[in-house]
Amino acid sequence: MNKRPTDREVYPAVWIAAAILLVFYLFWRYILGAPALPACWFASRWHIYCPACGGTRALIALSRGRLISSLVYHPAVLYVFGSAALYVLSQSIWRMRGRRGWVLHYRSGWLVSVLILLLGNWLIRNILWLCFQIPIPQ
Amino acid sequence: MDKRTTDIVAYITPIGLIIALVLGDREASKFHVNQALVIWLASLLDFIPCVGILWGIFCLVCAVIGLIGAVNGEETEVPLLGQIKLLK
Repeated sequence: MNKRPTDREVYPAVWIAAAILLVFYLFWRYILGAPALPACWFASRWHIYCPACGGTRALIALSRGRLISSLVYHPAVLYVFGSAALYVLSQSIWRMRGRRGWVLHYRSGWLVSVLILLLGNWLIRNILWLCFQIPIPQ
Repeated sequence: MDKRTTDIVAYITPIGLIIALVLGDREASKFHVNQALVIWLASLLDFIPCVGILWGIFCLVCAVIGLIGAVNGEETEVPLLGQIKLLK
């Protein structure tokens, strides 16, 4: 019988993924010397934004603690990392307190909300650009 | 390789998946071998510009969730990718 993922799998998975991402970040930052990122290939070629336009820059802005910039570049990044941090924090405190008190549990609705954010960001950026010529940094 | 080892090895990089496919108990480990195959194939999309990084993080988390399920001896279906069946 197949089962859906629960906190038992998701909690350690988030820690392991965070550790791997930290290694990648440190490699990019200190070994490669934080090289400049090229503009989005999709936007440069087709002159419209893609659903993930600004995602990498939002990630870098977030790593430097610039929350507002990260939100402007791409709201999904702040949402994903903010909710993951809140989830891990609440789960850790809950486990340390003997599984008592308030805690955030993993729900598949999180993924759906990330997809909605990606699509919403894509639509708003392109409407602002195509209808009003308002560019948003990518 | 026994079923559990095959389940676990399949999630440890694409090389592990090849080892599981060639040397493992494919019939008994069909669920995890299939899921690992789908995850590693999906991770090829990381090389597509734009959505690659977010997709890569998602595939990484899925692989770790699948690996933890395999270690626990459970058939944990990862989000989105777990519903795809490539191996009959």
